[in-house]
Amino acid sequence: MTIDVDKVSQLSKLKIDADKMPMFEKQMNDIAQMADVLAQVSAQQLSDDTRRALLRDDTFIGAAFGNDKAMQNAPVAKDSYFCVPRTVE
Amino acid sequence: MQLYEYNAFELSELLEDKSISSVELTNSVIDRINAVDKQLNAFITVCSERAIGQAKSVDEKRINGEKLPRLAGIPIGLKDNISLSGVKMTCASRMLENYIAPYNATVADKLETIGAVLIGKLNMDEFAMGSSNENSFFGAVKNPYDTNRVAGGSSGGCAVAVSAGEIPCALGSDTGGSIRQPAAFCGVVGLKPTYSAVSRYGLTAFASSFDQIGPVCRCVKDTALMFDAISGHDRRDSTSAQREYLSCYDSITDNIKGLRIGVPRTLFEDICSEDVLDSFNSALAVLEQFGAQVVDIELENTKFALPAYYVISSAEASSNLARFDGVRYGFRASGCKDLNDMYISTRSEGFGDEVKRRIMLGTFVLSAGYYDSYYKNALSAAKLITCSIKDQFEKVDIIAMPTSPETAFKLGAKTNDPIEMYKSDVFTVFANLTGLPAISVPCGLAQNSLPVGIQFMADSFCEQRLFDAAYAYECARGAIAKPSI
Repeated sequence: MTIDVDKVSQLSKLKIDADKMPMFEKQMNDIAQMADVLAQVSAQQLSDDTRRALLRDDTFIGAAFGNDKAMQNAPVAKDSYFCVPRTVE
Repeated sequence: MQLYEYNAFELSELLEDKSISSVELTNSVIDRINAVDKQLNAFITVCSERAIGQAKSVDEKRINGEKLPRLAGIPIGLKDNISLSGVKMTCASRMLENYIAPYNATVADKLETIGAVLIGKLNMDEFAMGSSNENSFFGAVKNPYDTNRVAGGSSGGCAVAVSAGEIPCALGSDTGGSIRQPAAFCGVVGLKPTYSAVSRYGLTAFASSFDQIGPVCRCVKDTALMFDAISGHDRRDSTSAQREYLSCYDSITDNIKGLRIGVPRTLFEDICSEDVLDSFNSALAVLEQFGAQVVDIELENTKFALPAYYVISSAEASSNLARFDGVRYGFRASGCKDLNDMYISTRSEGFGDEVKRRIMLGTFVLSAGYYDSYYKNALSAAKLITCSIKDQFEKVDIIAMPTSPETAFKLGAKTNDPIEMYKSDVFTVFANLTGLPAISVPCGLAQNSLPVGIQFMADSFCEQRLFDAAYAYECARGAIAKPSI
Protein backbone atom coordinates (compact mmCIF):
# COMPACT_ATOMS: atom_id res chain seq x y z
CA MET A 1 0.00 0.00 0.00
CA THR A 2 1.27 3.47 -0.82
CA ILE A 3 0.56 6.56 1.27
CA ASP A 4 -0.62 9.58 -0.71
CA VAL A 5 1.42 12.13 1.26
CA ASP A 6 -0.11 15.07 -0.59
CA LYS A 7 -3.61 14.04 0.49
CA VAL A 8 -2.59 13.18 4.05
CA SER A 9 -0.80 16.53 4.42
CA GLN A 10 -4.00 18.34 3.40
CA LEU A 11 -5.99 16.37 5.98
CA SER A 12 -3.33 17.30 8.56
CA LYS A 13 -3.46 21.01 7.69
CA LEU A 14 0.18 20.91 6.66
CA LYS A 15 1.90 22.02 3.50
CA ILE A 16 4.96 20.02 2.50
CA ASP A 17 7.51 21.89 0.39
CA ALA A 18 8.05 20.36 -3.04
CA ASP A 19 11.75 19.76 -2.37
CA LYS A 20 10.93 17.74 0.75
CA MET A 21 8.08 15.73 -0.74
CA PRO A 22 10.23 12.81 -2.05
CA MET A 23 11.86 12.44 1.40
CA PHE A 24 8.51 12.37 3.22
CA GLU A 25 7.04 9.94 0.66
CA LYS A 26 9.92 7.51 1.05
CA GLN A 27 10.12 7.73 4.84
CA MET A 28 6.37 7.47 5.45
CA ASN A 29 5.98 4.55 3.10
CA ASP A 30 8.89 2.79 4.80
CA ILE A 31 7.15 3.30 8.15
CA ALA A 32 3.81 2.06 6.78
CA GLN A 33 5.61 -1.00 5.43
CA MET A 34 7.05 -1.66 8.88
CA ALA A 35 3.53 -1.41 10.31
CA ASP A 36 2.09 -3.82 7.71
CA VAL A 37 3.05 -6.68 10.05
CA LEU A 38 0.07 -5.63 12.20
CA ALA A 39 -2.21 -7.30 9.62
CA GLN A 40 -1.06 -10.58 11.20
CA VAL A 41 -2.45 -9.69 14.62
CA SER A 42 -4.98 -12.27 15.69
CA ALA A 43 -7.42 -10.57 18.01
CA GLN A 44 -9.84 -13.50 18.23
CA GLN A 45 -8.61 -14.63 21.61
CA LEU A 46 -9.00 -11.18 23.13
CA SER A 47 -11.76 -10.67 25.61
CA ASP A 48 -13.70 -7.41 25.56
CA ASP A 49 -12.29 -6.00 28.77
CA THR A 50 -11.47 -2.56 27.45
CA ARG A 51 -10.22 -0.42 30.32
CA ARG A 52 -12.19 2.71 30.87
CA ALA A 53 -11.12 5.67 32.94
CA LEU A 54 -13.09 6.16 36.13
CA LEU A 55 -15.49 9.05 35.71
CA ARG A 56 -15.06 11.82 38.24
CA ASP A 57 -17.91 13.72 39.83
CA ASP A 58 -19.13 16.61 37.72
CA THR A 59 -18.09 19.21 40.25
CA PHE A 60 -16.07 22.41 40.14
CA ILE A 61 -12.44 21.60 40.95
CA GLY A 62 -11.21 25.16 41.26
CA ALA A 63 -10.26 28.01 38.98
CA ALA A 64 -6.99 27.34 37.16
CA PHE A 65 -6.37 30.93 36.12
CA GLY A 66 -8.22 34.06 35.03
CA ASN A 67 -8.97 35.73 31.74
CA ASP A 68 -5.76 37.74 31.55
CA LYS A 69 -3.57 34.68 31.92
CA ALA A 70 -5.68 32.71 29.47
CA MET A 71 -5.18 35.44 26.87
CA GLN A 72 -1.53 36.25 27.58
CA ASN A 73 -0.15 33.90 24.90
CA ALA A 74 -2.64 34.83 22.16
CA PRO A 75 -0.86 35.85 18.93
CA VAL A 76 -3.52 38.53 18.34
CA ALA A 77 -6.17 39.53 20.88
CA LYS A 78 -8.52 42.47 21.42
CA ASP A 79 -10.92 43.14 24.32
CA SER A 80 -10.54 39.55 25.63
CA TYR A 81 -11.26 38.04 22.21
CA PHE A 82 -8.90 35.98 20.05
CA CYS A 83 -8.58 37.64 16.66
CA VAL A 84 -8.33 35.62 13.43
CA PRO A 85 -8.51 36.56 9.74
CA ARG A 86 -12.01 37.60 8.65
CA THR A 87 -14.18 34.60 7.80
CA VAL A 88 -17.42 36.39 6.81
CA GLU A 89 -17.48 39.14 4.22
CA MET B 1 34.34 17.44 45.86
CA GLN B 2 32.13 20.32 44.65
CA LEU B 3 28.57 20.71 45.90
CA TYR B 4 27.10 20.07 42.45
CA GLU B 5 28.68 16.61 42.44
CA TYR B 6 26.70 15.25 45.40
CA ASN B 7 23.58 13.14 45.12
CA ALA B 8 20.30 14.66 46.28
CA PHE B 9 19.93 12.42 49.35
CA GLU B 10 23.44 13.40 50.48
CA LEU B 11 22.72 17.09 49.87
CA SER B 12 19.53 16.70 51.87
CA GLU B 13 21.55 15.57 54.89
CA LEU B 14 24.05 18.43 54.47
CA LEU B 15 21.20 20.93 54.28
CA GLU B 16 19.40 19.36 57.23
CA ASP B 17 22.44 19.64 59.54
CA LYS B 18 23.10 23.16 58.19
CA SER B 19 26.58 22.28 56.84
CA ILE B 20 25.54 24.04 53.67
CA SER B 21 22.77 26.42 52.64
CA SER B 22 20.44 26.04 49.69
CA VAL B 23 21.71 29.37 48.31
CA GLU B 24 25.29 28.04 48.31
CA LEU B 25 24.14 24.85 46.62
CA THR B 26 22.03 26.67 44.04
CA ASN B 27 24.92 29.03 43.23
CA SER B 28 27.21 26.04 42.79
CA VAL B 29 24.74 24.50 40.35
CA ILE B 30 24.30 27.77 38.42
CA ASP B 31 28.09 28.15 38.14
CA ARG B 32 28.33 24.60 36.83
CA ILE B 33 25.59 25.25 34.26
CA ASN B 34 27.39 28.41 33.13
CA ALA B 35 30.67 26.50 32.87
CA VAL B 36 29.55 23.49 30.82
CA ASP B 37 26.19 24.01 29.19
CA LYS B 38 27.51 25.87 26.15
CA GLN B 39 29.14 22.60 25.12
CA LEU B 40 26.14 20.41 25.95
CA ASN B 41 23.02 22.51 25.23
CA ALA B 42 21.00 20.73 27.94
CA PHE B 43 19.10 23.80 29.12
CA ILE B 44 16.63 25.92 27.16
CA THR B 45 15.83 28.25 30.08
CA VAL B 46 17.76 28.81 33.32
CA CYS B 47 15.71 30.59 36.02
CA SER B 48 18.63 31.80 38.16
CA GLU B 49 16.82 34.62 39.99
CA ARG B 50 13.70 32.61 40.64
CA ALA B 51 15.83 29.70 41.89
CA ILE B 52 17.90 31.85 44.24
CA GLY B 53 14.66 33.34 45.59
CA GLN B 54 13.29 29.85 46.30
CA ALA B 55 16.60 28.82 47.88
CA LYS B 56 16.61 31.87 50.18
CA SER B 57 13.07 31.11 51.27
CA VAL B 58 14.02 27.52 52.16
CA ASP B 59 17.11 28.67 54.05
CA GLU B 60 15.02 31.12 56.10
CA LYS B 61 12.57 28.39 57.04
CA ARG B 62 15.43 26.13 58.10
CA ILE B 63 17.06 28.87 60.16
CA ASN B 64 13.68 29.37 61.85
CA GLY B 65 13.77 25.74 62.90
CA GLU B 66 11.13 24.36 60.55
CA LYS B 67 11.37 20.64 59.78
CA LEU B 68 11.48 20.46 55.99
CA PRO B 69 10.93 17.64 53.48
CA ARG B 70 14.00 15.89 52.08
CA LEU B 71 13.98 17.66 48.72
CA ALA B 72 13.65 21.14 50.25
CA GLY B 73 16.45 23.33 48.92
CA ILE B 74 17.57 20.84 46.25
CA PRO B 75 17.87 22.20 42.67
CA ILE B 76 15.76 20.26 40.17
CA GLY B 77 15.28 20.73 36.42
CA LEU B 78 12.11 20.18 34.42
CA LYS B 79 11.84 18.94 30.85
CA ASP B 80 10.53 21.80 28.74
CA ASN B 81 7.15 20.17 28.15
CA ILE B 82 6.18 20.50 31.85
CA SER B 83 4.41 23.74 32.82
CA LEU B 84 6.06 26.02 35.37
CA SER B 85 3.95 29.09 35.97
CA GLY B 86 5.42 32.32 34.60
CA VAL B 87 8.30 30.55 32.84
CA LYS B 88 8.66 29.80 29.12
CA MET B 89 7.60 26.31 28.05
CA THR B 90 8.72 25.75 24.47
CA CYS B 91 8.49 21.97 23.99
CA ALA B 92 11.67 22.66 21.96
CA SER B 93 9.46 23.89 19.13
CA ARG B 94 9.22 27.10 17.14
CA MET B 95 5.48 26.70 17.69
CA LEU B 96 5.88 27.56 21.40
CA GLU B 97 9.10 29.56 21.25
CA ASN B 98 7.60 32.45 23.26
CA TYR B 99 4.85 30.64 25.20
CA ILE B 100 4.76 31.46 28.93
CA ALA B 101 3.04 28.80 31.04
CA PRO B 102 0.06 30.38 32.85
CA TYR B 103 -0.14 27.62 35.47
CA ASN B 104 1.90 24.96 37.22
CA ALA B 105 1.85 21.28 36.28
CA THR B 106 0.81 19.18 39.27
CA VAL B 107 4.35 17.80 39.56
CA ALA B 108 5.77 21.35 39.61
CA ASP B 109 3.23 22.29 42.28
CA LYS B 110 4.21 19.27 44.36
CA LEU B 111 7.92 20.05 44.11
CA GLU B 112 7.45 23.74 44.91
CA THR B 113 5.23 22.89 47.87
CA ILE B 114 7.98 20.79 49.44
CA GLY B 115 10.57 23.50 48.81
CA ALA B 116 12.48 22.09 45.85
CA VAL B 117 14.37 24.73 43.87
CA LEU B 118 13.19 24.63 40.24
CA ILE B 119 16.27 25.77 38.41
CA GLY B 120 15.21 25.67 34.77
CA LYS B 121 13.75 24.00 31.72
CA LEU B 122 15.57 21.28 29.83
CA ASN B 123 16.08 20.65 26.13
CA MET B 124 14.25 17.81 24.43
CA ASP B 125 13.15 16.51 21.04
CA GLU B 126 10.37 18.71 19.66
CA PHE B 127 7.11 17.77 21.41
CA ALA B 128 8.97 14.73 22.83
CA MET B 129 9.18 13.08 19.41
CA GLY B 130 12.61 11.57 18.90
CA SER B 131 15.25 9.22 20.23
CA SER B 132 18.39 11.32 19.90
CA ASN B 133 17.49 14.88 20.96
CA GLU B 134 18.48 16.13 17.51
CA ASN B 135 14.89 17.27 16.75
CA SER B 136 15.04 20.39 18.91
CA PHE B 137 14.36 23.88 17.52
CA PHE B 138 17.08 25.01 19.96
CA GLY B 139 19.73 22.63 18.63
CA ALA B 140 20.90 19.12 19.48
CA VAL B 141 21.92 18.12 23.00
CA LYS B 142 25.42 16.60 23.19
CA ASN B 143 26.42 13.52 25.16
CA PRO B 144 28.82 14.48 28.00
CA TYR B 145 30.82 11.26 27.51
CA ASP B 146 31.53 12.23 23.89
CA THR B 147 30.17 15.49 22.53
CA ASN B 148 30.18 14.09 18.98
CA ARG B 149 27.47 11.67 20.05
CA VAL B 150 23.78 11.99 20.77
CA ALA B 151 22.28 12.33 24.23
CA GLY B 152 19.36 10.04 23.44
CA GLY B 153 15.81 11.28 23.54
CA SER B 154 13.46 12.69 23.94
CA SER B 155 14.46 13.73 27.51
CA GLY B 156 18.08 14.24 26.40
CA GLY B 157 18.47 17.54 28.24
CA CYS B 158 17.42 15.90 31.53
CA ALA B 159 19.85 13.00 31.16
CA VAL B 160 22.77 15.20 30.09
CA ALA B 161 22.24 17.85 32.78
CA VAL B 162 22.16 15.17 35.48
CA SER B 163 25.09 13.22 34.05
CA ALA B 164 27.30 16.31 33.65
CA GLY B 165 26.66 17.52 37.20
CA GLU B 166 24.55 20.52 36.18
CA ILE B 167 21.72 19.35 38.45
CA PRO B 168 21.29 16.35 40.78
CA CYS B 169 17.77 15.47 39.58
CA ALA B 170 15.36 16.21 36.75
CA LEU B 171 11.84 15.35 35.71
CA GLY B 172 11.38 14.05 32.20
CA SER B 173 8.54 12.40 30.34
CA ASP B 174 8.48 8.91 28.84
CA THR B 175 6.12 7.99 26.00
CA GLY B 176 8.15 5.19 24.36
CA GLY B 177 11.41 5.22 26.28
CA SER B 178 12.12 8.95 26.43
CA ILE B 179 13.41 8.83 30.01
CA ARG B 180 15.11 5.42 30.02
CA GLN B 181 16.96 5.49 26.69
CA PRO B 182 18.73 8.85 27.26
CA ALA B 183 19.42 7.78 30.85
CA ALA B 184 21.15 4.67 29.48
CA PHE B 185 23.11 6.71 26.91
CA CYS B 186 24.31 9.18 29.55
CA GLY B 187 25.06 6.82 32.45
CA VAL B 188 22.26 7.90 34.82
CA VAL B 189 19.15 6.33 36.34
CA GLY B 190 15.73 6.90 34.73
CA LEU B 191 12.30 5.71 35.88
CA LYS B 192 9.11 5.43 33.85
CA PRO B 193 6.47 4.98 36.56
CA THR B 194 3.29 2.91 36.20
CA TYR B 195 0.83 4.71 33.91
CA SER B 196 -1.48 6.79 36.15
CA ALA B 197 0.88 6.84 39.17
CA VAL B 198 2.02 10.40 38.39
CA SER B 199 -0.35 13.17 37.30
CA ARG B 200 -0.03 14.33 33.70
CA TYR B 201 -1.80 17.64 34.41
CA GLY B 202 0.41 20.34 32.93
CA LEU B 203 2.43 17.96 30.76
CA THR B 204 2.06 18.83 27.07
CA ALA B 205 0.28 15.84 25.57
CA PHE B 206 2.02 13.77 22.91
CA ALA B 207 0.37 10.31 23.16
CA SER B 208 -1.93 10.59 26.15
CA SER B 209 -2.38 6.86 26.75
CA PHE B 210 1.40 6.34 27.01
CA ASP B 211 2.80 9.64 28.38
CA GLN B 212 4.15 9.48 31.91
CA ILE B 213 6.33 11.89 33.91
CA GLY B 214 9.28 10.37 35.76
CA PRO B 215 12.62 11.18 37.42
CA VAL B 216 16.15 11.16 36.01
CA CYS B 217 18.84 11.06 38.73
CA ARG B 218 22.43 9.99 39.37
CA CYS B 219 21.53 7.17 41.78
CA VAL B 220 18.63 4.87 42.62
CA LYS B 221 17.97 6.38 46.07
CA ASP B 222 17.47 9.83 44.54
CA THR B 223 15.12 8.31 41.97
CA ALA B 224 13.02 6.79 44.76
CA LEU B 225 13.03 10.12 46.60
CA MET B 226 11.77 11.92 43.51
CA PHE B 227 9.13 9.27 42.76
CA ASP B 228 7.79 9.60 46.31
CA ALA B 229 7.54 13.37 45.81
CA ILE B 230 5.59 13.31 42.54
CA SER B 231 3.35 10.22 42.72
CA GLY B 232 -0.23 10.29 43.95
CA HIS B 233 -3.79 10.88 42.88
CA ASP B 234 -4.75 14.14 41.17
CA ARG B 235 -8.36 15.10 40.47
CA ARG B 236 -7.21 17.21 37.55
CA ASP B 237 -5.97 14.13 35.63
CA SER B 238 -8.88 11.80 34.93
CA THR B 239 -6.51 8.86 34.36
CA SER B 240 -4.80 9.34 37.73
CA ALA B 241 -4.97 6.23 39.96
CA GLN B 242 -6.74 6.50 43.31
CA ARG B 243 -4.54 4.50 45.64
CA GLU B 244 -2.20 4.88 48.55
CA TYR B 245 1.53 5.23 47.99
CA LEU B 246 4.05 4.17 50.62
CA SER B 247 7.48 5.78 50.68
CA CYS B 248 9.76 3.83 48.36
CA TYR B 249 12.80 5.75 49.64
CA ASP B 250 12.22 4.71 53.25
CA SER B 251 11.66 1.06 52.30
CA ILE B 252 14.52 0.62 49.84
CA THR B 253 16.72 -2.42 50.50
CA ASP B 254 19.65 -4.11 48.82
CA ASN B 255 18.40 -7.52 49.93
CA ILE B 256 17.27 -9.29 46.76
CA LYS B 257 17.75 -12.87 47.94
CA GLY B 258 15.25 -15.01 46.09
CA LEU B 259 14.17 -12.26 43.66
CA ARG B 260 13.13 -14.01 40.43
CA ILE B 261 14.41 -12.19 37.34
CA GLY B 262 12.99 -13.21 33.96
CA VAL B 263 15.19 -12.62 30.91
CA PRO B 264 13.57 -12.73 27.43
CA ARG B 265 16.82 -13.55 25.60
CA THR B 266 15.30 -14.33 22.21
CA LEU B 267 13.88 -10.80 22.14
CA PHE B 268 17.22 -9.03 22.22
CA GLU B 269 20.19 -11.35 21.64
CA ASP B 270 20.22 -10.99 17.85
CA ILE B 271 19.79 -7.21 17.75
CA CYS B 272 22.06 -5.98 20.54
CA SER B 273 25.64 -4.95 19.99
CA GLU B 274 28.24 -7.24 21.54
CA ASP B 275 29.28 -4.46 23.94
CA VAL B 276 25.76 -4.06 25.26
CA LEU B 277 25.25 -7.81 25.64
CA ASP B 278 28.52 -8.21 27.55
CA SER B 279 27.61 -5.45 30.00
CA PHE B 280 24.08 -6.80 30.41
CA ASN B 281 25.29 -10.36 31.09
CA SER B 282 27.84 -9.10 33.60
CA ALA B 283 25.07 -7.24 35.41
CA LEU B 284 22.95 -10.39 35.58
CA ALA B 285 25.92 -12.32 37.01
CA VAL B 286 26.26 -9.69 39.75
CA LEU B 287 22.55 -9.95 40.59
CA GLU B 288 22.87 -13.75 40.78
CA GLN B 289 25.81 -13.41 43.17
CA PHE B 290 23.56 -11.35 45.41
CA GLY B 291 20.96 -14.09 45.58
CA ALA B 292 18.63 -13.35 42.67
CA GLN B 293 17.42 -16.24 40.53
CA VAL B 294 17.79 -15.57 36.82
CA VAL B 295 15.52 -17.56 34.51
CA ASP B 296 14.96 -17.42 30.77
CA ILE B 297 11.44 -16.49 29.68
CA GLU B 298 9.65 -16.11 26.36
CA LEU B 299 7.44 -13.15 25.51
CA GLU B 300 4.88 -13.58 22.75
CA ASN B 301 3.88 -11.24 19.94
CA THR B 302 6.94 -9.06 20.45
CA LYS B 303 7.34 -8.41 16.70
CA PHE B 304 4.22 -6.24 16.90
CA ALA B 305 5.54 -3.98 19.67
CA LEU B 306 7.46 -1.32 17.76
CA PRO B 307 4.92 -0.95 14.89
CA ALA B 308 2.01 -0.90 17.36
CA TYR B 309 3.75 1.76 19.41
CA TYR B 310 4.39 4.03 16.43
CA VAL B 311 0.87 3.60 15.05
CA ILE B 312 -0.89 4.34 18.35
CA SER B 313 1.44 7.14 19.47
CA SER B 314 1.27 8.86 16.06
CA ALA B 315 -2.53 8.55 15.99
CA GLU B 316 -2.79 10.19 19.40
CA ALA B 317 -0.20 12.83 18.45
CA SER B 318 -2.14 13.81 15.32
CA SER B 319 -5.18 14.45 17.50
CA ASN B 320 -3.33 16.14 20.39
CA LEU B 321 -1.34 18.48 18.17
CA ALA B 322 -4.43 19.67 16.30
CA ARG B 323 -4.70 22.33 19.02
CA PHE B 324 -1.70 24.18 17.58
CA ASP B 325 -3.53 26.29 15.03
CA GLY B 326 -2.23 29.79 15.71
CA VAL B 327 -5.45 31.02 17.34
CA ARG B 328 -5.14 30.92 21.14
CA TYR B 329 -1.43 30.56 21.87
CA GLY B 330 1.89 29.96 20.23
CA PHE B 331 3.28 30.87 16.84
CA ARG B 332 1.10 32.34 14.08
CA ALA B 333 2.35 32.73 10.49
CA SER B 334 2.09 36.22 9.07
CA GLY B 335 0.48 37.43 5.84
CA CYS B 336 -2.26 34.78 5.70
CA LYS B 337 -5.12 35.41 3.30
CA ASP B 338 -7.82 33.54 5.20
CA LEU B 339 -8.43 31.29 8.22
CA ASN B 340 -7.56 28.03 6.46
CA ASP B 341 -4.37 29.55 5.09
CA MET B 342 -3.52 30.68 8.63
CA TYR B 343 -3.96 27.15 10.02
CA ILE B 344 -1.84 25.57 7.28
CA SER B 345 0.92 28.18 7.22
CA THR B 346 1.14 28.32 11.02
CA ARG B 347 1.47 24.54 11.35
CA SER B 348 3.81 24.20 8.37
CA GLU B 349 6.18 26.91 9.62
CA GLY B 350 5.82 26.12 13.33
CA PHE B 351 6.45 22.35 13.35
CA GLY B 352 9.70 20.56 12.46
CA ASP B 353 9.95 17.60 10.07
CA GLU B 354 9.68 14.77 12.65
CA VAL B 355 6.54 16.28 14.16
CA LYS B 356 5.01 16.71 10.70
CA ARG B 357 5.88 13.10 9.85
CA ARG B 358 4.14 11.78 12.95
CA ILE B 359 1.07 14.00 12.54
CA MET B 360 0.70 12.77 8.97
CA LEU B 361 1.29 9.15 9.92
CA GLY B 362 -1.31 9.45 12.68
CA THR B 363 -3.79 11.09 10.30
CA PHE B 364 -3.20 8.27 7.82
CA VAL B 365 -3.73 5.38 10.28
CA LEU B 366 -6.94 6.99 11.56
CA SER B 367 -8.36 7.67 8.10
CA ALA B 368 -11.25 5.74 6.55
CA GLY B 369 -10.08 2.48 5.01
CA TYR B 370 -6.93 2.19 7.14
CA TYR B 371 -8.29 2.54 10.68
CA ASP B 372 -8.97 -1.18 11.14
CA SER B 373 -5.82 -2.53 9.52
CA TYR B 374 -3.46 -0.18 11.35
CA TYR B 375 -4.93 1.54 14.39
CA LYS B 376 -7.35 -1.16 15.57
CA ASN B 377 -4.82 -3.94 15.00
CA ALA B 378 -2.21 -1.92 16.89
CA LEU B 379 -4.55 -1.66 19.88
CA SER B 380 -5.14 -5.42 19.72
CA ALA B 381 -1.39 -6.04 19.52
CA ALA B 382 -0.82 -3.87 22.62
CA LYS B 383 -3.42 -5.92 24.44
CA LEU B 384 -1.86 -9.24 23.39
CA ILE B 385 1.59 -8.05 24.51
CA THR B 386 0.17 -6.89 27.84
CA CYS B 387 -1.41 -10.32 28.43
CA SER B 388 1.85 -12.07 27.54
CA ILE B 389 3.92 -9.94 29.92
CA LYS B 390 1.36 -10.01 32.75
CA ASP B 391 1.38 -13.84 32.51
CA GLN B 392 5.13 -13.80 33.12
CA PHE B 393 4.64 -12.01 36.44
CA GLU B 394 3.00 -15.20 37.72
CA LYS B 395 6.45 -16.81 37.40
CA VAL B 396 8.97 -13.99 37.92
CA ASP B 397 9.15 -10.80 40.00
CA ILE B 398 10.84 -8.57 37.45
CA ILE B 399 11.87 -8.77 33.80
CA ALA B 400 15.36 -7.63 32.75
CA MET B 401 16.65 -6.62 29.33
CA PRO B 402 19.06 -4.08 27.89
CA THR B 403 17.57 -0.57 27.76
CA SER B 404 18.69 0.02 24.19
CA PRO B 405 20.36 -2.25 21.61
CA GLU B 406 23.43 -0.04 21.32
CA THR B 407 25.35 2.76 23.02
CA ALA B 408 25.01 6.44 22.05
CA PHE B 409 25.47 6.84 18.31
CA LYS B 410 27.16 9.67 16.39
CA LEU B 411 25.26 12.92 15.85
CA GLY B 412 23.58 12.82 12.44
CA ALA B 413 24.03 9.06 12.00
CA LYS B 414 20.30 8.29 11.85
CA THR B 415 18.62 11.58 11.08
CA ASN B 416 17.68 10.57 7.52
CA ASP B 417 16.41 7.12 8.46
CA PRO B 418 13.45 7.30 10.87
CA ILE B 419 13.05 3.52 11.10
CA GLU B 420 16.65 3.07 12.25
CA MET B 421 16.03 5.84 14.78
CA TYR B 422 12.79 4.21 15.97
CA LYS B 423 14.62 0.90 16.56
CA SER B 424 16.46 2.60 19.40
CA ASP B 425 13.19 2.25 21.36
CA VAL B 426 12.66 -1.43 20.56
CA PHE B 427 13.03 -2.56 24.21
CA THR B 428 11.58 0.45 25.96
CA VAL B 429 8.18 0.60 24.22
CA PHE B 430 6.99 -2.51 26.10
CA ALA B 431 6.54 -0.58 29.34
CA ASN B 432 4.50 2.09 27.54
CA LEU B 433 2.31 -0.32 25.56
CA THR B 434 1.51 -2.18 28.78
CA GLY B 435 1.48 0.76 31.23
CA LEU B 436 4.01 -1.07 33.44
CA PRO B 437 6.81 0.62 35.42
CA ALA B 438 10.40 0.28 34.23
CA ILE B 439 13.76 1.63 35.34
CA SER B 440 17.08 1.97 33.53
CA VAL B 441 20.25 1.72 35.60
CA PRO B 442 23.81 2.14 34.31
CA CYS B 443 25.63 -1.19 34.02
CA GLY B 444 29.11 0.03 33.26
CA LEU B 445 30.91 1.41 30.26
CA ALA B 446 31.26 -0.46 26.99
CA GLN B 447 34.63 -0.89 25.26
CA ASN B 448 34.01 2.40 23.44
CA SER B 449 33.88 4.09 26.90
CA LEU B 450 30.17 4.89 26.55
CA PRO B 451 27.55 3.96 29.17
CA VAL B 452 25.23 0.95 28.85
CA GLY B 453 21.89 0.64 30.65
CA ILE B 454 20.07 -2.39 32.05
CA GLN B 455 16.28 -2.10 32.22
CA PHE B 456 14.05 -3.74 34.83
CA MET B 457 10.28 -3.95 34.37
CA ALA B 458 7.77 -4.96 37.06
CA ASP B 459 4.04 -5.43 37.44
CA SER B 460 1.80 -2.37 37.85
CA PHE B 461 2.53 -0.24 40.94
CA CYS B 462 5.50 -2.44 41.91
CA GLU B 463 8.02 0.41 41.72
CA GLN B 464 9.43 -0.69 45.09
CA ARG B 465 10.53 -3.96 43.54
CA LEU B 466 12.30 -2.05 40.78
CA PHE B 467 14.06 0.25 43.24
CA ASP B 468 15.23 -2.69 45.36
CA ALA B 469 16.64 -4.61 42.39
CA ALA B 470 18.24 -1.49 40.95
CA TYR B 471 19.66 -0.41 44.32
CA ALA B 472 21.09 -3.86 45.05
CA TYR B 473 22.72 -3.89 41.65
CA GLU B 474 24.02 -0.34 42.03
CA CYS B 475 25.59 -1.15 45.42
CA ALA B 476 27.26 -4.27 44.03
CA ARG B 477 28.39 -2.60 40.81
CA GLY B 478 30.17 0.31 42.45
CA ALA B 479 30.75 3.67 40.84
CA ILE B 480 31.07 4.04 37.09
CA ALA B 481 33.40 6.58 35.53
CA LYS B 482 31.82 10.04 35.29
CA PRO B 483 32.06 12.05 32.08
CA SER B 484 35.24 14.10 32.02
CA ILE B 485 33.55 17.34 30.99
